[in-house]
Amino acid sequence: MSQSISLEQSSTPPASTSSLLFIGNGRDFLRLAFKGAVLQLISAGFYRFWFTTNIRRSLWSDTQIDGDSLEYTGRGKELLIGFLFALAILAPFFIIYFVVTLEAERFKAFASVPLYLALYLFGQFATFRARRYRLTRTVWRGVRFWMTGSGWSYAFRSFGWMLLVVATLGLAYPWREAALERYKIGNTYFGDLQGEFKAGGWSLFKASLLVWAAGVLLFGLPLAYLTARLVILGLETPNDPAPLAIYVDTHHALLIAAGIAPFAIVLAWPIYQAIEWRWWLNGIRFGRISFISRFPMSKILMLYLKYLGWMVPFVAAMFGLVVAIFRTNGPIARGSFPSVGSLVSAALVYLAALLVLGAIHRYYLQFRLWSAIVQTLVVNNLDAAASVTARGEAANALGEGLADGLDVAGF
Amino acid sequence: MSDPQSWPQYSAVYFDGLSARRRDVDLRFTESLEIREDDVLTARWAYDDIRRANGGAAVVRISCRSAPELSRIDIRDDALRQALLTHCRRLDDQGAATSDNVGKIVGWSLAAAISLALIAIYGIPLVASQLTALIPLSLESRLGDAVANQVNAVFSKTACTQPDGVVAFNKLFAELTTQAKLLRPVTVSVRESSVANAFAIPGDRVYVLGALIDKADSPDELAGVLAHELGHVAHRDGLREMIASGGSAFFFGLLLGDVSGSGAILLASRTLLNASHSRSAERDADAFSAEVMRGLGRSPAPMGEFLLRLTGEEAAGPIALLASHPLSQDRLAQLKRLDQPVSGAPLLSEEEWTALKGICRSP
Repeated sequence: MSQSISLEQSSTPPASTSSLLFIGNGRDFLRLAFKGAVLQLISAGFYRFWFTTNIRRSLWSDTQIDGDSLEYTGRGKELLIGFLFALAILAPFFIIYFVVTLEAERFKAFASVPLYLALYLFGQFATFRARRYRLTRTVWRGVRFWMTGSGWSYAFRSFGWMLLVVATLGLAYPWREAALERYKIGNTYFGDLQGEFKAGGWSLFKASLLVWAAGVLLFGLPLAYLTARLVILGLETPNDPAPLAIYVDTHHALLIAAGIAPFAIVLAWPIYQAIEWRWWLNGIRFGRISFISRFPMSKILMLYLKYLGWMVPFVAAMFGLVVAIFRTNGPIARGSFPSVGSLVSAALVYLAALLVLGAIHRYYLQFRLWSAIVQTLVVNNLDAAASVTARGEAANALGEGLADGLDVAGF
Repeated sequence: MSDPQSWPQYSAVYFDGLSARRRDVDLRFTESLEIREDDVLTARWAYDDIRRANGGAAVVRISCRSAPELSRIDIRDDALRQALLTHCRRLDDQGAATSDNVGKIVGWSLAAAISLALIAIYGIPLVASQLTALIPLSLESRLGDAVANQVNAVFSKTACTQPDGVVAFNKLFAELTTQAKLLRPVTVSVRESSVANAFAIPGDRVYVLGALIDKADSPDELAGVLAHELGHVAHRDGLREMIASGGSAFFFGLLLGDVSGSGAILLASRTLLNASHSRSAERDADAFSAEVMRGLGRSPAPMGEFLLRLTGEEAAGPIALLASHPLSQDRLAQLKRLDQPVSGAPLLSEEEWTALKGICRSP
């Protein structure tokens, strides 16, 4: 006893590090993902509230910080109620939206554009409130995370920054991320311990500059050049396709570059995500507690490639199967129609494919990714958590419902 | 009281739900679960209040309904798990983190899905009809303005204005509207177009596209089509369809969300549903047309022959379920059932018909 007291009394306590552990079992998760997908299908989609809850429960409780697992205390029923409340808000909103759009379009085409901004704000509000729900259902050592701050204030900040990002052709994006994270994490608490976001836009900008540059070089420039040339050609010779053919003949290299670009994006996107997550995790503080992420880019790249490695042949096989189903009824001549039987079997193949793809996606890009991020994360000075006093109330799931209804996601 | 030392004692980890301190404690099963830290009684949990919480595969985590909401005990010891199971009979009762009843959720979901489907099939058309009757004409005409802008954008803005043709057309149209006994004035516009079609939009407006007049062989053929559109106006079908399709879009899209990405199938069922509503509206408009033509002493059948000539014999099959109109041969059959011999004077003279045919020629 006396020894530990004397240690704590020393003026600069040595930084203690604790590691995180993920003990999830891939087979169990796949079973959960497939079962959830099937139940979701036979329940006409309503099972999704419980499915989401089960997935979160599994990821949270298999994550151990300093030996003690996180706990997700949310319920499927809460998500359902949140969704019903969101419907009650969205239904009149969409009716008003419809009437206002109609009136606006009567006076001038595109007069309804400002209304899309209202939808954007709603989406950002939903994102913030959904985050609050998830946090207040996240418990570690008997203490929950919770949030202050206002969803509308966040929505307007996000909107203002978005304007700036558009005005600077995307250059302001890292500073937008930093500002929004400062707001979100600054309003986040673990018990009475307030969060703080220390990373700045400049460091994200520097870290991701190469990816941006590669993206612009590989994708932006060839595309812009090709578009400009084609537009000019189109203007010069509106009804003659010949110059287009000549043009294509002489610009193979550029066309190939434009053709490769989508694949480059497939690689660039995960790399950028890895950079941003590392930047984000390293920027989070709770009092003396800080994080060090050593999440390797190669890991996320491999996960994406594995996912694509399953997805592409699978989609091709399913497509082949659908074609074969229609072929068995003879070639599809113009004016004749496929039989009800083949339409139904094609629909079944389509649904089954969606189920399998959804489960593969969840396995690689949720379970394995989460596992990789957790396992490469180290916490400094976790002992500071011992003196945290529980505070904060569980928030309602309205934000989750709105996000569901508006089809937005984010954290 | 018996000697406390005689009770079996197990070690576990306790979180009191008030602070994030990890406390190593001993548990004793007496008349309730005793939580002791350094041999001092810290808390007592009644067995019937103890529920399972989510601690993952590595531990058994329990909570207590009469203790602070987030207080937890993590148990790793097998003997302790056994003792817990024998004492806490309501571990997985209501309030436990594991108590979701999948059968119940799926059952209620299916019930909800079936009632939603019934609402979509029977409820939405019914509500649309009721709402149509309630919506004031001024509002309908505003809706019509918005649709008219789209019509201008999609089809030609140029109206056909050859003066003699306009006179003949107006005469024919006036005969039809008088016979149809519509309560409201109808605006009609003939537009230059290579598409042979005519349609009515909300706000009592009818559009006739030039090629339809080109392809009509007699005043009765054209008159039948116009009377059919007047049927849509009389029944306010445009408005009803707008409400019904808007309602079902909202219904399917928002309520069911994207069922694991099966949006395409939802879209297909919506199309099927809207098409079936629209086909019944078309049959009613055909009946209205036949009624008007009979009232004028003319035969309703030429319109059916005209339609069949325009579309050709249509294949019956599953795609017919997706069509917004009944098959042309079926419509002709329906009109022939309502046919009667000609008893009235021709609607237009030979000269008037020739002038009408030329309505889209530049003056």
